[in-house]
Amino acid sequence: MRGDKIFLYILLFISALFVVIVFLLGFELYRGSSSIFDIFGFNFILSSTWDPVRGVFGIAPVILGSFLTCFIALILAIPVALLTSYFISELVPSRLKIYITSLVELLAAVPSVVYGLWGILVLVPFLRDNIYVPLQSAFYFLPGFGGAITGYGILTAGILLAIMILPTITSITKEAIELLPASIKEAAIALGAMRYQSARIIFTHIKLTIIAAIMLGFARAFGEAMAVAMVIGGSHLFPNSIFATGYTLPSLIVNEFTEATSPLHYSALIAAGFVLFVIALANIVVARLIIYRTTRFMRLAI
Amino acid sequence: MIKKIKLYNILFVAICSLALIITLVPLIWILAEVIANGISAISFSLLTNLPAPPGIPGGGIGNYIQGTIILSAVASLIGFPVGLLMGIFISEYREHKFAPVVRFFVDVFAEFPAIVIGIFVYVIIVRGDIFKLFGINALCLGSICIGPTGFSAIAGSISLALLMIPIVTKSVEEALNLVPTSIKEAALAMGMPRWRMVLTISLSYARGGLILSYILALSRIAGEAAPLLLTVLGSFYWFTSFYDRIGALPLAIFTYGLSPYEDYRAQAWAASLLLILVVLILNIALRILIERRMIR
Amino acid sequence: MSRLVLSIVIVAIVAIGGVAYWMLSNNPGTSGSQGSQPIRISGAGSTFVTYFLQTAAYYYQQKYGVEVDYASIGSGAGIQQFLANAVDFGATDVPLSTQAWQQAGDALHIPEAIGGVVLTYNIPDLPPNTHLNFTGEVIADIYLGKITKWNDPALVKLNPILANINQPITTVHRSDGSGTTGVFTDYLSSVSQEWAQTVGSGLSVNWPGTNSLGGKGSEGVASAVKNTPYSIGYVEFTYALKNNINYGYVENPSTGEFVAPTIESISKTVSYVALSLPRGDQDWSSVSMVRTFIQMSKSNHTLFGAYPIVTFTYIVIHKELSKIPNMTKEKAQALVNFLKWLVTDGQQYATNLYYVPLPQSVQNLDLQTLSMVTYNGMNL
Repeated sequence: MRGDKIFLYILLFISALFVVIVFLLGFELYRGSSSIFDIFGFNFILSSTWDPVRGVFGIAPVILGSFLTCFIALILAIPVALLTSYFISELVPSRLKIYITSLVELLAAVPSVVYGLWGILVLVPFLRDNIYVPLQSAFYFLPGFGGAITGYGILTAGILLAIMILPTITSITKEAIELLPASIKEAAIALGAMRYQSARIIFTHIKLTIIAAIMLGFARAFGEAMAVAMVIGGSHLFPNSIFATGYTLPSLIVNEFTEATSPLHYSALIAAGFVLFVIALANIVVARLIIYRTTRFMRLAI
Repeated sequence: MIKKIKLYNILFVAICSLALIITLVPLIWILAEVIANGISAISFSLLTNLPAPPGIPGGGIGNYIQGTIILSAVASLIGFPVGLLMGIFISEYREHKFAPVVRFFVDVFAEFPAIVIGIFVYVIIVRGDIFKLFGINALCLGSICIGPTGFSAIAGSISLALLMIPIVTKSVEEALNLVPTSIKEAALAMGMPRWRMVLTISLSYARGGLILSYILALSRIAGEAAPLLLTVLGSFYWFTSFYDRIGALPLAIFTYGLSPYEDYRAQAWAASLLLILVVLILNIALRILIERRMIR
Repeated sequence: MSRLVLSIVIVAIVAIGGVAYWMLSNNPGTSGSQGSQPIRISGAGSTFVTYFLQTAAYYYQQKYGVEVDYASIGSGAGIQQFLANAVDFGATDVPLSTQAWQQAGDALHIPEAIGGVVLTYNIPDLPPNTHLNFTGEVIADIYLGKITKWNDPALVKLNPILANINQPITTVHRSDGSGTTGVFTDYLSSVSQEWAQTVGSGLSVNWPGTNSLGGKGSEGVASAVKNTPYSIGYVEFTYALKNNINYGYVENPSTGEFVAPTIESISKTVSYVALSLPRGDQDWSSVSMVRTFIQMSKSNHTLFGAYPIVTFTYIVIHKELSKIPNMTKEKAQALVNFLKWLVTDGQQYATNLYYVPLPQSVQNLDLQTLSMVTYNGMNL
């Protein structure tokens, strides 16, 4: 009995310590950004002037950049991931499955700096010379296709992020498909469904997991710092073309944090971290809510 | 009619395989680039020498390798036990009213971008704002002092440990959840104290899962650069003291990759090759463990 | 089985406790002696001076065994980390502002090198080693976004070879807090009214213009220019040379000649300007070779052969070194010795890297400043 108590106290102590640290983190972020919010209030999030000389800071373009890159990443990654996961789980002979699955999971294991290195030294020149320049010469008359092409930018960062979150979404979806009872898949075949119809049925059943996977992918893309910092090109202006450079919240912090030139600048960057923290938190809460609401029926049924 | 169905099916399979190819192409491309560029730069002297300023030949990445090993080791020393204990708590004691709170906080922390954790450690340890908050220079117990450290290896290790904790906790929880309750109840029924049951029965049953958690977390932090950027600032020399700066492979890749010097870039590829090899080996070990009946 | 686990746990706790005790007690601030470990000095800041500082540190370590770790993170960062006592010394191309100097309390400025800021560009159509001519107004207009193409009439007037290059200009600037930006914008503010009024000068400014790319550090700018066709960027001279990027000749406002950046032309500027520098422990915020030179050019038209965009680069340290965490008497002495060496013998590594060595008068001033450094009140 006494041993139990001691053990429990040890566990509680460590866990409480951890919770305190998380609180401390939130508190420090809040405290560090208080000077910025005292001066600018909500304007910090809404304005787009980033002028360290005059002490004016606004991160609207940065927030936009974060969402844009994640949006691009998700648009590119989701269809590919879903189709790939279906392919792997249903259409690949089981001998090959293990190898292919390992390959895909290997993609997830590559450290983000290596993605970044490959990004600046390989992807950027490739996209610039083989895709962006021809694209611009073909569509220069359309709005949004003008501007200088550097190869860096929001689009490139979005593409790199898509590559990085592909394995995440793919492996979660694939696992979900494999966990479905065979009866569903067999029923579809029995009813004479065509392949794509079976796929649709399966996806409907695992809708919840797919949403969870997407939110996880979003979280990963939103918080990615190093790889994005290396290819995004660093600009505080709203993008004026699809080839424009920009910033995301994490890459802004990477590029400017140790190098803030004044206490106010420093506070602005911590505030960016705070905004990042809030959005990441919101993402978790929303994910939890969705899962809660959709499983409500299951729990009610019990 | 059947022809149309066959056509649609083939079309669909074709699209799906295209998706698979799109998924695999970047991976193969990255691996190819890393291997090709890395191998041409790798040599024994590269792995054992200290870095030289750009333009001076003979530079190496030896200290970065040492740094990564030291940082990972110390981070594991702090992060794994904490993560393990917390994982035990939320799995074995999930009826405790504090458990869901802890689980929630672990989830919250797990979603944190690594860079934010870097800011946190920078503010608290490198700059020591928390000490200034209490108006003291350092917390001293006799001759042992804890205070702001400036950019240092210990700050880097702590940030990596913090990053590690949620990963280990969640993984340990999963592993422990798979221990069949019947075994646990049998032990309890025979009069074993609960703490002993947890430490002996649950932990040994979940042995494989625990090793898995560690390997997972290790391969994650070995490649992390974001928190290190704000806490250790890199170094060109062998390790001297935990209060000095230290180099690390991911940091070197970042700095060298952004530089315009050809020799540094070649070294960045070599360092990437090394990192990927390490991560690969860890992941293969993972896979072999899973294969041999140990969990999942 | 449980005995085994228990003993492992106990051993682990003891081990962790032991390691923790060892680490904490190895804190040089408390125990004083570091035994046979080499002394490590931590510095950070300006990317302008990186080539020089890292090369000098490399040779210093080979000669004297003391390891100087210099992180090239930008002058703004150098100043901030110096103010936060997170490093032993900071390096910046622009002196501390009065506010920063007051915040530091006892900051000493030690100029350790002189260099020039050059305009580098990447125009694939031009033959290698083509040096374009630039005037101050033209550079300002390019960065203001008023001149957007390489074949703009103003540019073509100075460089007829650009007449057929109908490409948009991508301007590269520093994304981090940069002394090089400080010097460059000082220059632009001095030669262009519009720039002075709309953008101003500083370590980090609100860059106008839409085709702008940010590079981290001079390394990042050099990298970006090298890899982006039709781009232009400003870096310290060595970066242009070491990376084989074309650089331009800049108009000397005193005489109207287009001067190439060379050791001679930069030295000429230094000798013309002959700044009377403050004492090491005073406020240096008004010291600016660029501003002084441009100011002089307005009335003096005989300053031949001088390259206009030239600057000192400074190391900043506290006078009382015990303020810095983990500082010991040995380390403080080593730091002072290193700096003394840097401004005297260390200057031999400057010319090879295209920095201009310090004139004797400045070296003397620095040695005088260094003699003011104390550790716990005792001179070193």
